[in-house]
Amino acid sequence: VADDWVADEERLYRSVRSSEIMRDASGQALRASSQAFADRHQQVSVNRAARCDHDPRSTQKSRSDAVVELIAGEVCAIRTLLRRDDQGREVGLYTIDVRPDPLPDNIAHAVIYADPQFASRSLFKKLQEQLAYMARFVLLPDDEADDA
Amino acid sequence: MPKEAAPKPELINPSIQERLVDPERDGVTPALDRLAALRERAAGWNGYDALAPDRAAIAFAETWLAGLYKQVTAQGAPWLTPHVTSSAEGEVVFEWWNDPRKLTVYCTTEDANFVKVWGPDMVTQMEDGDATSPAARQQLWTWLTGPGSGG
Repeated sequence: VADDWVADEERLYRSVRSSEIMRDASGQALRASSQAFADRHQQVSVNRAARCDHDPRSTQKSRSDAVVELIAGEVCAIRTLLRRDDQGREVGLYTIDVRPDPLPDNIAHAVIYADPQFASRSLFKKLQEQLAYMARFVLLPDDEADDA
Repeated sequence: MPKEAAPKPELINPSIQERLVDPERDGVTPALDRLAALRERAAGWNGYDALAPDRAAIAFAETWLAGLYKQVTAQGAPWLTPHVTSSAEGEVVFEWWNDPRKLTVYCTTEDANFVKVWGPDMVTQMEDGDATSPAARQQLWTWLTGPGSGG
């Protein structure tokens, strides 16, 4: 749909392998690893909850995976990144956005991306950390359910 | 008849095992086991587009982690077991979460890089840099386990 967009209040789901769930040093609190948001093309795939009946199971890639949730408006609020040229001069800002990207078999699909694309991979690594920090578990693998 | 324990995956770097006096009692062994298990990961292991972990990066990461362990224990400091995984590009990734600090280290085939995190703001509460040298490892560990709120 050409005029489609992702509203700030929309919830976004991402499937996370159980191997990407980590615990703090005390062994108590759960958190998504930064690698839960890894993507070789710096386009983080998510599903729009409103387009999949707000059912995180529809995003879960397997029963042993977890699903985390992000709020689109919070993701798009990451707007203060300075963009620099080769000489280190400030030439603008990177903005983080969420774009609908429906697939033939998944109309809920969307992507989180930087505009323009990060020139340095280290910036994308930091974005992964921030997304991991913001993510909230909405579905845990069966064997982790009691630890939530 | 008692069941035999399943064999542990072998480390790529046999020298690492030799350097550890008693690997079975050693605090770094669980992490080295997880590292060795990364060899089983195929492309797409994360359900998206991740590459399989690079075997040479796994070998480098074994050496890097064993070196850090030696540095930490030589000082009598407590060891924190890292979360062990791999990146979409096939690097080995170690993560320590010692609230409010978090440290992520990416190991390629020849070097290591870090991201220090002490809050959710990627501009003001994160820092990155090189983590290859023993001195850099030591500084990162001091930061991770030190007092205060982070940065």
